Amino acid sequence: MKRRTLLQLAAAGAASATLPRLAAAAPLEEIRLDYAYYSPTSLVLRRFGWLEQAFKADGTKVKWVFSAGSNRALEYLNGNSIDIGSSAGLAALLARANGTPIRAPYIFSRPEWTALVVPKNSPIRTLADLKGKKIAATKGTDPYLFLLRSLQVAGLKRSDIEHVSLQHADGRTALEQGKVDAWAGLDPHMAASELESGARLLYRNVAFNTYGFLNVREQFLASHPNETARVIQAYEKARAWVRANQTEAAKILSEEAKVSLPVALLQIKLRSDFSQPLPGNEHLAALRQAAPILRAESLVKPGADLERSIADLVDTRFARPYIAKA
Amino acid sequence: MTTRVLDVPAAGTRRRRRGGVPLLLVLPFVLPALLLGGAELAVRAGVLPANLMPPPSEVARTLAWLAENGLGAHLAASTARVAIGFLAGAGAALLAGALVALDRRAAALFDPTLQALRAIPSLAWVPLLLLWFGIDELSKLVLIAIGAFFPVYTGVVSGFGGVDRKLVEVAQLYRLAPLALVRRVLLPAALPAILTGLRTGLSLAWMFMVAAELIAATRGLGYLLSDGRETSRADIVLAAIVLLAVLGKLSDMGMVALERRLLAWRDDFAGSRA
Amino acid sequence: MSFLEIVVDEKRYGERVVLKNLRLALARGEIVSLVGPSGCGKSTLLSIVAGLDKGARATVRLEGAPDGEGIGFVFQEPRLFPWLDVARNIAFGSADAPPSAAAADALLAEVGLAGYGAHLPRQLSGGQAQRVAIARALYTRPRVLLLDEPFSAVDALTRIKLQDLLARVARERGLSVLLVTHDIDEAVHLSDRIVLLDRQPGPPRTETPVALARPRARGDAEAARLKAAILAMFDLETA
Repeated sequence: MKRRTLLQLAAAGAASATLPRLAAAAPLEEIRLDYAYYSPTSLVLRRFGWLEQAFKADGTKVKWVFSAGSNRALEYLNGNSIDIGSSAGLAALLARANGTPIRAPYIFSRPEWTALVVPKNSPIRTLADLKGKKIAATKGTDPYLFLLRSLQVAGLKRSDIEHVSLQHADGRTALEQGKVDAWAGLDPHMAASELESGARLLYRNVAFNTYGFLNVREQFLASHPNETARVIQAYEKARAWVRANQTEAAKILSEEAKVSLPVALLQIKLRSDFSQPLPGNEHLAALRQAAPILRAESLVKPGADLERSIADLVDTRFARPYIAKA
Repeated sequence: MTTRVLDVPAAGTRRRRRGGVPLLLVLPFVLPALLLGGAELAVRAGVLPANLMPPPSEVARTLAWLAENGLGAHLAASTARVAIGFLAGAGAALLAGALVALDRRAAALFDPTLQALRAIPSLAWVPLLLLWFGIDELSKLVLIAIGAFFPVYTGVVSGFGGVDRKLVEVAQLYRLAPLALVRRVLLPAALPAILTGLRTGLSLAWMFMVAAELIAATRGLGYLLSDGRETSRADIVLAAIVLLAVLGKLSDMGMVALERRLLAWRDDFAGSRA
Repeated sequence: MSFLEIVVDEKRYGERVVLKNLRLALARGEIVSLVGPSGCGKSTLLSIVAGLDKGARATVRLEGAPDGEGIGFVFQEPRLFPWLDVARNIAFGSADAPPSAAAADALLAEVGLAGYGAHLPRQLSGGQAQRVAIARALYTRPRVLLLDEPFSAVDALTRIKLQDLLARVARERGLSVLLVTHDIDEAVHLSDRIVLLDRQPGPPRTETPVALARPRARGDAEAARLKAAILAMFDLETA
């Protein structure tokens, strides 16, 4: 294991040696990025301090900001509180279409991280049963958009249900306390709810999950491509480590998110795919397929050009030199 | 010896703007117009980034769009919450305040505790209320009632306490029963302070309503505000803020009108300039 | 028994004794002025008679009237309720039934303010307000009128007019009047008897009858002599 890591490190080092020395903006004092329970790679990266090591020579500080959901990460990016943030792909598209100046050069995972959850003894059996019910979901995140797309499958709209806006963890609590009838869940909270309270997944659809996007502020990407590249390289290192040490990675997730090991293992082993980090046609297609819901539920401003936003958001080329061969 | 002539305007004349629009009617709109116009220009010129500060023209368009897409339901929900919460809180405060002001033992019993509770900031109540009353209407209404309670309570207590002793002596000459004394003398005399408390309580009720709706709501202006936040729609955020300002101002104007009617007898500086 | 009999055994404020062993009696229709140096307890005595002061060992007996009734009071300030118009202020004493507009108007006319019923107190001058206060005191048809330095807060000309008003009203109604005043001229002009209270608590120092014929002229020589005599007693006091 260690040898493989060393080899990968060497490969990454060689790649960075060939990086053109760009006359970037003033040396970076601090690089700010997020970490989240829905991005196990970020937790690993933060735990081992690989970014801090990478930037020590330049004297650049690394600031980690906790993100409670895509909505938060995108909000921080928009307000220039972080430079690099993790979110679901569709959520990033929504933000981009509404004016948030971000680009996504890297995919941190392909998760099946959301589904519609009902309590253990719920009488709800099908999507159509959701009509008129109270459903908790965090606005501006993949679970929320998943909910809308699932409703569409059953011919329902947002106005056909009563949406209660709660952050992911609070949504789980509300479900288990019987305050809402259903919940658009997110791992690890969702996995925890299944294993610990016996909650049932009412509806799953892998295709409706829109990948984990690592978003970078446009201005940052333009003025500090070197630093961005190094972050991606560090992410690659973490990604390789996670694939090779799934159980250890689950342990880290379980410690950070304060969930049990079985829950963490469920999320990492069964519901995450770390094999495709470079944004490509597969991701573009997923976004194109998902985009209409943004317009149908008036989440974007009227007249938004979603095709253009997809093109502006997804950067299929930047990270190519830094992706280690699988 | 030189004679100087004083240029004294004839009695009854007053300077008027050409065109007949009095200055005092125009002045309130000057600042908002300048701010809005400045913001619009700044965004168009690229000085202010549009994703952080949508131009007023865009906010106006969003308001128009909202008006055709369920704004009425949001407005109704928020207004209803404020109305119910305010009435409950203010009503309780009127009773509690009167009791504390008029009975010394009740004052010793209740006032210290109420003053301590008053010091708790609004947001600190939220987790507790959510725990006890859930995420439905009750927790929101209770939060709003709490917000309205304390200014009204303080107004009532200080209003009654500040009644001129000389007037009370006059009433004592007539051997008024305690209830009659409260109704005929103490209440009217305390009314200015009570109305000030009510006015403050109302504006706080709006504030607490937004806090309540930010936590867990399905409708309302606070819901709209958080909706805009979570989907990166700064224009919706601003639209909600504008609506909150307008509604708050309207309800305040209503209170002021009420005040003016009920307190027309007051002999004070504000009245003398009218 | 006199029409109005006042007996004060003792009245103290905390440790300080203000009134003690004081007996005062008024006949029907008699006007008595209470004068004396500051702090001698004149106003306190008036409060006791009005029933405003419950902390005294005292008895007040008014012929034919149960405790406290039949007594009207005029303070140094008008003390009108600012939220009521003049008519309602005057009629404040009518407990429940709608106050009699006619009675209030009649009183207004009597005090020289006909047509002012709808005014608010803030629209009145000091003298006008005090007239309303007098009208208010008369509304309940008292038989005794108590006044505590009622005209000390108005200008000299208004004071003269108000004094004349008081004299006329008292005479027309046959009121007994107990008037506390610092103004010896006023006392001499209005009263049938002038009672001088001692600085030391105890019975009145002197009681001076005023036998001048009514209607009284001001600047009368006899009046001036009386005034000097009373002032002399004041000076003896301070010696």
